[in-house]
Amino acid sequence: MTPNLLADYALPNVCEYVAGRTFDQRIQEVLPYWLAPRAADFPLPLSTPTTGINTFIFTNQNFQMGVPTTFVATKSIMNLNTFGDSPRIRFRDNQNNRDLMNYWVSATNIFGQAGRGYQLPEPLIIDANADLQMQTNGFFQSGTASNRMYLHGRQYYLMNGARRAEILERKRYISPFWLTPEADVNLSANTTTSYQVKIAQGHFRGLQIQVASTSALTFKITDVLRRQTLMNGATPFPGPNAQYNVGMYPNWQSVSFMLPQGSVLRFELTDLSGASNKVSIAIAGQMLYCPIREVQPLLRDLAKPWKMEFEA
Amino acid sequence: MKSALYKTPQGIIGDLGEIQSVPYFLTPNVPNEVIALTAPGLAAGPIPMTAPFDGPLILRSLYANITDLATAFVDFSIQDGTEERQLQNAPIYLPTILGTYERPYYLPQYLFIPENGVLNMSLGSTAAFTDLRMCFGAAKLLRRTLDQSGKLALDRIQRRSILSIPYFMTFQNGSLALGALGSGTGEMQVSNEGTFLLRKISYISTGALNFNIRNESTGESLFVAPAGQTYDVPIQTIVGQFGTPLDLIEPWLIGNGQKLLVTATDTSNGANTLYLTLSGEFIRNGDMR
Repeated sequence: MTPNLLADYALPNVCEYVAGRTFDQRIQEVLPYWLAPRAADFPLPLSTPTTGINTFIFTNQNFQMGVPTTFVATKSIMNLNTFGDSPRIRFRDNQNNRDLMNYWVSATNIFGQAGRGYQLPEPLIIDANADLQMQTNGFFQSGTASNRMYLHGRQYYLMNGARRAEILERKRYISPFWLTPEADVNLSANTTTSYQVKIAQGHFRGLQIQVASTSALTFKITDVLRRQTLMNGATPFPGPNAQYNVGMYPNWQSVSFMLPQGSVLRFELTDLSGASNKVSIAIAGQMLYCPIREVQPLLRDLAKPWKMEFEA
Repeated sequence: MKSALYKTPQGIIGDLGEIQSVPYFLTPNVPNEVIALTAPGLAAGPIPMTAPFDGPLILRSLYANITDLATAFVDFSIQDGTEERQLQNAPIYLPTILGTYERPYYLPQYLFIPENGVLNMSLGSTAAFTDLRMCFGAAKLLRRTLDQSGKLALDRIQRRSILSIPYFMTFQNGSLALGALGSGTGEMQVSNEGTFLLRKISYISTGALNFNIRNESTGESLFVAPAGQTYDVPIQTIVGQFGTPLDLIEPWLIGNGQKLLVTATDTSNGANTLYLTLSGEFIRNGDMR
């Protein structure tokens, strides 16, 4: 649960041993892979500044000798010209018709500022010819080659049917998800505002917490159903104006945060800067799509050793 | 084995292990306390952080924001119902654990704090700083919802915590000063009360230098040349920059009362100050079972 965040942009290890497979078979089947958005949708880098909603499609159109392949993305990389007022992002899995966020989440929240790889809380699985949609809402500065976005992971070639079924079965029950207040949060100077979010899609398992803001604030998160406030006092977040706040590293929580479907989460945000403050706060994790009674067997199943390869 | 029951909007469930804990953030008891030391030589604290009354905490990470990281020394102590215990042999130079980038710092070993236990933090400064906010990332165990295996695990963690704590070691006088192209040796001695398991190395220095760490009692050293003699290597090559901790692939066990000698040689051709922090686990003499 506490990966070395500074090492999170390592190549996925293609040499690892997978039960029942020889090393030779393994390296024929799997390659590290980078997937960029379709150039026809939105050519990057941008030549002019862009505002409003833009749609990018990531399509896995990779075939080898006519055999479809499956892409398992474990990291994402994005570089933006400016992060101070970065665009907000929504992911949608078009193959399964699932939104992967309940509202827009700041790009800074997810990708940070240092152009480092971001470890997804759960892999994005894109089958042959399937689409992952990313929408951006807000300002993209034009110009240099800095605006870029890739998904990074493993491309599975020449896959036998059973192996492919295993990967797609995981996708059926679980997807990455970002939970955030369902509004654009613009705090007025020195005010406190609360936002409630109901977990509606499935059972949410939070793994990371990410905060981005234009200046300093404190936050308090409460699990309303269980009457648990997750801190003994309002927890500070300094904001990008602070001297050392350049990395925007997500904080991996010490323990996963299980919120069954129907739970309510309250975010209480207070500005400290004395000026208006644009805030994006998100809990990143996994959404589990199954009856509540099957959550425990599902989690047990996910912990099987051969499935660990999804996690690095 | 009887499990705790938990009421969800979809019905009552009894076997979901993950509902036995929640993430938790432990901050100073004064809400949003901003710690300011406005002149060199000032000290603050102890600043208490108290665990909640309805469940123990397992602390794993620390993060903070400070306007000028290059000035503060910190020491932590824990009051958990046994005796007050220090988590370091001398005050730690704060940037060597927090780094100069605002990333979370992961403790070398978890720190268990029982219900109502107190973690105290004291700060000293060599120059003024005005704005420190910090908190620990933790797991809170919900004692009321623990099932039988959760209770057994808690019991094990609690017994282990009596003898094992995260621990930081640094130079007794805080730093090692080197002249231009000069050499120096600093010492760190493990107490006779237990064993130190070294897991992470981090440093801040004002210039480039080579270093090595040697256990005076056993002759073991961090770097060994092919011919068997010890030699110093560039610290930036091994550990990195910006106070980023290096996780050792295998922990290094330093026994009771043993002394580590840190040799350093300046390569910057200017006056150089090295702040070095060795983090790990301190295991007190006793039976861990």
